[in-house]
Amino acid sequence: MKFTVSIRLSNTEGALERLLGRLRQRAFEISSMSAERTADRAFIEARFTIEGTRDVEPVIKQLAKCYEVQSLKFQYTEGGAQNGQWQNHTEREVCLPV
Amino acid sequence: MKGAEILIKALENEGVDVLFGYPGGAIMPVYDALVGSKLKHILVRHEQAAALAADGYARASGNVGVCMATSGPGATNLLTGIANAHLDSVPMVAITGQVSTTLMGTDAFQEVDIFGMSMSVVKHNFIVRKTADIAKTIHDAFELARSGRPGPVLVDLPKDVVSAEIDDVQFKESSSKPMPRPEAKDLHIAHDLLLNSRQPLIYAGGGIRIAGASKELCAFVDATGIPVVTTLQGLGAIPADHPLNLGMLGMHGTKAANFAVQSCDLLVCVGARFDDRVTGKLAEFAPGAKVIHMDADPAEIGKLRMVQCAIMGDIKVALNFLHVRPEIDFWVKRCMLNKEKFAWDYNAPMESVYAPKFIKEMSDRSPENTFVSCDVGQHQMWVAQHYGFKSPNNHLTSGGLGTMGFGLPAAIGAQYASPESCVITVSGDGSIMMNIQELATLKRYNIPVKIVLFDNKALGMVRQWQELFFNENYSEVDLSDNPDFVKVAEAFGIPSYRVERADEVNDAIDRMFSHQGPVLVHVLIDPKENVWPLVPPGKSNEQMMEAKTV
Repeated sequence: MKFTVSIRLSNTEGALERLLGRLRQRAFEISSMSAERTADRAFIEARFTIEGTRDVEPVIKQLAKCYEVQSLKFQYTEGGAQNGQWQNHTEREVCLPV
Repeated sequence: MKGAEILIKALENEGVDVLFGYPGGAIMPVYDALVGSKLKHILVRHEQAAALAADGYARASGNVGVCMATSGPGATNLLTGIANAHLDSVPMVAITGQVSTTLMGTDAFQEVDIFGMSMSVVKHNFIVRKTADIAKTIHDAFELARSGRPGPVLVDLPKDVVSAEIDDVQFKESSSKPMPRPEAKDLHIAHDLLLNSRQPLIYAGGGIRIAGASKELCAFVDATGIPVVTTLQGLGAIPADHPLNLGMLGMHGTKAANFAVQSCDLLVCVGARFDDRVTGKLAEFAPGAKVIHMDADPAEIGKLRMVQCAIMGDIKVALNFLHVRPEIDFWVKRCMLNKEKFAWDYNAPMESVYAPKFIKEMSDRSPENTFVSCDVGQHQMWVAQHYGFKSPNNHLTSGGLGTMGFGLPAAIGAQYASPESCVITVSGDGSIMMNIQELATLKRYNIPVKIVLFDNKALGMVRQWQELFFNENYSEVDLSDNPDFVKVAEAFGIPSYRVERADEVNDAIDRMFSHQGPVLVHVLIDPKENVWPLVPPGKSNEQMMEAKTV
């Protein structure tokens, strides 16, 4: 299973590290990543291409649980349903105020 | 105002009245500001106990528990307690001292990256790098800890940040995010599933305690007439003596509960998470059941079991909405027959103390609103099986992490949460040694916790598994060289006495309850006594092993 996640997260200490930790704990491998701070320094726009053998949606929910995450969308690029279509993930408890 | 003073004021603003901690170098400015504040600080004798006491306080009170330690070893010692709160969704704020910002990253004395180390065992964590951010960060930490699915939040405070002074500090009012109402369409799907079921079963977990929804659960059970099984954390969510309560399910669950789960056609999961100790072999758990899953955390839905209906948000609203009456008389009768057929048998014709019977007697003789904390092992399962909990707040047990050493500090926390209540901690001779130094805390503050210490001279649960699954190849489980626990307690200034025979049990329990201060009751039990029934690893819940002889 291969998928791409596009995430906008608040630019707070440890935000990226938290996302990476959640992927690593669940044995997902990142095949490529890019991250850029927005001009106003408030956010990071990050994009990961990820491979793994586990179901994707549970880990998407775990990423979305990070309080820095402001918005998240993902697409399967190999082996998933709705291949190539971006899906917005909107279910979240709360996110950190910026 | 100094940063440390801002911290104390921010804690007071959040309604904190007691915190558990241990001072040290980097946190000294905070301890300096603590003097003269309204906060009551309980000095424990190991930082792990501070976190576990804060956990116990939070479980018993429903408020956020607070613990504090210095940098380096102080902070790492908190980690087990923080992880314990994380796995059982307990609201906690852990405050750690840190070396000054200029020294961070230089391998300074007592420096560890506790922010990085704690990341996977907290709900969230912060480093505060500016004194002006302290008040807002503490506010956000409490809001996160208590909102939605609760959990621990760590705030790391460098020494220079809490030492600096600033003017014009803005404090925010304490707040929490309200739980959203469930979606109407989901409630209607659940309504229809319930109405069309013929063998429904409620599977209630720790979410009931967290949501304060016991009353709503009982009303739901009474209105629908559906039998209930509970998880370890769900014990007391419905009173143990409720006619439709089949008891705990899972590895050491009752036969009635496990048989019901395996044959139900609809499982109504209320604030539980399909933990492996509950499900046994996941693929064979409740094989014929559709599932309604009510939870506060979207990430729990579909994590381990696909569901036909997910209800997110306030479970009280959901439970109140779903008062339907399916036609289930035949099913209920079958469940009740199993409950009667497989009821516990306390008739143990032996001279030595039978631990399950001791716990049953203790339960029957305990004052109203007694809190019971446990350590981890056989005694923990006996408490779960044989103590009749009437409220989920009254049972404090380390379910997710299984932390030996949890019981005594958690009892200390519970006693501060409910000073007028009786608090018992049930421990084993393995677990008690993990935090035995907290006897000094009991003595120092005269905390009237009653300790029941079951001593089988072994790491009993490990020994049981070695007996059953490792060909009786006993490896490092013998504790026959235990110290004399009565003398140990007395050395700490805690009165203690020993119970060796079954005919001494009732008097010993009455004596314990009538004792005003802390007391340790050392109960010798048969080293070969095991916990039954038992679902072996990798098996489904109907494949329970039973005692050959009791």
